[in-house]
Amino acid sequence: VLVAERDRYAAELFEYFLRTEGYDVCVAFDPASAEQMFAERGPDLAIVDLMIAGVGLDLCARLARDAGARVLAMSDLHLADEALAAGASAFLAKPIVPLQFVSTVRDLLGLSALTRRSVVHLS
Amino acid sequence: MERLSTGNVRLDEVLGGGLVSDAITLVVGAPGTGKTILAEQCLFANATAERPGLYLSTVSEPFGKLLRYGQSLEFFDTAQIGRSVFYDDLGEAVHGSGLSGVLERIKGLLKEHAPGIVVIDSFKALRSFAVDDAEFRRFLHELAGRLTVVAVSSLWVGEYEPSEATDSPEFAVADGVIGLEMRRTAERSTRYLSVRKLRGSDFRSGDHVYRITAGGLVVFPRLADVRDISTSEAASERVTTGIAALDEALEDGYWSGSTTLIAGPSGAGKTLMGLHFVFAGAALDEPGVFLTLQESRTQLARVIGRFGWAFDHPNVTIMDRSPVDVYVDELVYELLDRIREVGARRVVIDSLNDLVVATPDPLRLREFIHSLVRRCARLGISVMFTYETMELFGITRLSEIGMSHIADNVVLLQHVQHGSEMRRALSVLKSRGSPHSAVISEFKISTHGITLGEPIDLRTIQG
Repeated sequence: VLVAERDRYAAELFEYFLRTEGYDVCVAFDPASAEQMFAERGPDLAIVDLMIAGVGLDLCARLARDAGARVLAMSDLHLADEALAAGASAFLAKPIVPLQFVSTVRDLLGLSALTRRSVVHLS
Repeated sequence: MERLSTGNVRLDEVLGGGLVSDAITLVVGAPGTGKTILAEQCLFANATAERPGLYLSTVSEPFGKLLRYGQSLEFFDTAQIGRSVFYDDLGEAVHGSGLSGVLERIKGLLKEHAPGIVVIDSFKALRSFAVDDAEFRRFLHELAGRLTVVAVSSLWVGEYEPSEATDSPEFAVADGVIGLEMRRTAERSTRYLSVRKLRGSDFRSGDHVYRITAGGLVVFPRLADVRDISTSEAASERVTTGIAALDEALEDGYWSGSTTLIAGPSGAGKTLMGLHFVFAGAALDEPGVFLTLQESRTQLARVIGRFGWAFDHPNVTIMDRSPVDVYVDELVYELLDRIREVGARRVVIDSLNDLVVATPDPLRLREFIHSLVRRCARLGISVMFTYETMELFGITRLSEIGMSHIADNVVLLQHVQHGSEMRRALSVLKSRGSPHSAVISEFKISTHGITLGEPIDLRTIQG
């Protein structure tokens, strides 16, 4: 899972919750590193803070539309419609409720992550 | 904006629905004002297994003592401890590694428990561990940042002085500030709660009286109803005074939902007028509440029996309170609750003077009486106050709290001297929205109660 997050405290917690659930996580604090990491690591899911460098919606669109990524958008502002229009698969309002956050990620990854995890496990 | 219940419905009302969720609220006040109880009350009311409550003590109170005292409170459910409510101590972290130790510990606890509500008590005590102001501000910034990332409501409890509100950075960081204080007037101590800040939200301003009980803080929000439609316009029917001749003088009794002031010196028959009013309603199947601050239950039972009424009449509810232990805020709420419970149509308060004595702040008393009267008027409930005048003869002044303006009807009872004999006279000074007789009539009190007699000329009698 790629976490593209402006807030370091938020990124630290998201990473912790995701790792606790067994996901592999990489974190980017700006759009350029996020796109670079996406290209290099090919994550199953990109979690994008819509306020990242003020261009989160663009990043969301580039990752979802151009790179075909599954994107979970997040923001303190009510930008659900804009995020979905930009290609995000889901939107979560900040501040997040940890359980809801984790279960949304689980829902979005669905079988693909399970398969990958079991493949990793088998190998 | 989502709200978080404080565990007390009336306090939630003061806060416009509750604390703002996922925000930082400061609870400030001197020691003994109930800050910890309020915080624990909120904690237990909101903690769930999925979104637990976290109580973090710092260095002002020993951890064990906090738990022991907590146990005596009704909402302190020990079954929740370790499941949905977690108590922890930041004392060791702060002593060992200062404020950075506190941050590390809180960071760990947020990850471990993913709480929905966090209390830090005492927050103020942490300040003394900062080397300088800058370090404390850095600590605040980081803590607020970490608490903002996840949906967590935090209560920071502290013994702050009122003056600290302007220069302590905590007050700027906090989204809400609730102040608790105790004020002494003569021999009385009264506790007041006030909301000093609530970002992005409306709240009920002013000081609200509260009491600390085993169930937590019980708040009596300041009643400050705006004036609405006048009673005389709203009323559609008349209610009997319980005295036939007085009904006649008032052109068929009072308007329903009106407020009547029965004024007169001691022994003039004011309580009896009130009893006539309540029992006349009871006979018509209109429930009534008689609040006495003048007499004990036994004394009143004797008076009621003497005039042939039944003390235990199912339509009459007697409330007796000692005037030395009356807090008007609490009393008015109790009265409104009772009115609602019994579906009262008539209410008598005997006497207004006792309420004046019990309320050091005249403005507050006016506000409460005005609101009580308005609320009753809206529901068509008729209210009667008795008021004892200072002068025994030749009454010149009625009320120092402007009650005669609030009242729709004012009935004056007087003593008059006739040679060596003392007589009683009744006159209707005011009857809003209806014509009334301006005659001063003599009245007698017998075992049948009050009977109105012939018109009386005070000049010839007293002169």
